Amino acid sequence: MMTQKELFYNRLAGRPVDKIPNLNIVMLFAAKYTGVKYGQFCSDYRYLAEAQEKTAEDFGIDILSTMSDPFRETSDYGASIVFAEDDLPICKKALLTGPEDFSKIKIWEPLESTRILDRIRAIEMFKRDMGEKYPILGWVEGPLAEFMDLTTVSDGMMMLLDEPEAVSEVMERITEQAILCAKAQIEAGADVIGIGDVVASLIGAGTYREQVRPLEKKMIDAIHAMGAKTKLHICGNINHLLSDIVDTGSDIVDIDHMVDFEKAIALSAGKCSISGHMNPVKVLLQGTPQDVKNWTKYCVEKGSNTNFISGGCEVPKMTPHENLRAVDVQLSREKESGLKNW
Amino acid sequence: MSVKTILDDELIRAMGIVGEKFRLNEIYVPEMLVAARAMAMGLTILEPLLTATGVKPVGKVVIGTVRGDLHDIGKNLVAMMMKGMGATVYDLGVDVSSHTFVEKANEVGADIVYLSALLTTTMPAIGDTIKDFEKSGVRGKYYIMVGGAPVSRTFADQIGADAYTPNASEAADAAKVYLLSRAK
Repeated sequence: MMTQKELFYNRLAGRPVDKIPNLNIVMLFAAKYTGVKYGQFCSDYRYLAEAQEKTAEDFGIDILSTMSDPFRETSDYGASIVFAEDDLPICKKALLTGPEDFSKIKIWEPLESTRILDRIRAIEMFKRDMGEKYPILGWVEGPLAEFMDLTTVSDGMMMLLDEPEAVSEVMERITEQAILCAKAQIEAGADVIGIGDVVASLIGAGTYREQVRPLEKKMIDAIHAMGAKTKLHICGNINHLLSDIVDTGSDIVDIDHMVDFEKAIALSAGKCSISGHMNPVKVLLQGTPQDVKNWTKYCVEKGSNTNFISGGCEVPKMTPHENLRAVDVQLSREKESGLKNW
Repeated sequence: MSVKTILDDELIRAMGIVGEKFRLNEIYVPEMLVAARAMAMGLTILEPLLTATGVKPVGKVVIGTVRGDLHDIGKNLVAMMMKGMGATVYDLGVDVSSHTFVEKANEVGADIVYLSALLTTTMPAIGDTIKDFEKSGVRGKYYIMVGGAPVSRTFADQIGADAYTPNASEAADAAKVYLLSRAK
């Protein structure tokens, strides 16, 4: 039987696998399942790592993730983050309210930071506990997402049009910092670096192509040069960006439920792997185990020999356990049925 | 040009075009926000003049993101589009308690209450807010609209909302249809 790591690398290369890897994203779900308060999950790597390890083992998830919330880098840039006892942390006051604040964005050393260092510690724990068996997913915010985390989405989006040159300059610095964060995570043992640039789904193709994609590509190229794989996560509707996104060079591109899956598979052929594309709410949270199995089957049948299976975004906190288990049950059954794409 | 003409034939018409382009994916959120900012600035100048000339808004909308949810981009877009179709909008912000929604709707004599949530974890608070309208005995007075990324028509039906729309532009269209139907 292949280890999860073997499954992951074989699938990425289009080689045969014992089971198509299940890359579902679990954060709030993992904390709740393991009885960890979300405030602890986000602020103490030991809780995050234990919750992820147990959830992966119990639900057949084939990767160990360090994802928790969007504000790790934001906090280390100097923004004030408020932790809730059992909910997502929040940034109550934007660090950047206009171009006059952009000089606040200075490069810092990840090993001397607070919240990114906590993520690095989680990677070290994964490596120690299960690093031989599982691929480890580190994480950085993409250039646009981090800019919005620092400004708020409403203000940041308007700055993108009002002050394109100043915004590009600060996103360059954000990219440089993200590469340093990725480097520290790779040195700690991360096999894959996820790049979360979720808000990119809200901008047009021209803006994405000119202001965002070159920086995502810069991150991806740097991570590849350091020997790790990349997973680009832009949830939401990215139909209008698909052809640009698959050309970023990322090894894996996440595809949400509202994206044309078959088109994504076709466009990605020979360029990258696709992970997706179940509806996290309608299927995983509100559906039945049979609905989940049907969608898993659909994603296998319509996919390619390099695609991974997951929800389009995070598995909701209140997802019934039998629904998440149904993904693994169906993937194991699919292999026996001898369907294509194995 | 009369103030009413500037409002109807220029600002509202322009926002209608912007909304339609957004619905057709010809423009995206940054362009919508910049257009809405221009609309809001225009309204700041026009509103005192409209009041002085006795022009009434097409309706009153109370809007907010429900308790526990701090996301505002979708709610802001809906609020802007509602203003853009000529309604007076009372934006309660984020993390709004059901009590505050009920109180504000009663205070201003709202026509429409719009409840927004971005997270699956906070989505149930939309249903709780509707229940509080029922408990307060005022549910029938307001047309309750719901929206947000995880919200679906099925969910809206389950919790007893009057309308669900998948985006800000369609929310404004649906609100306008409702307000015009009431005016008949």
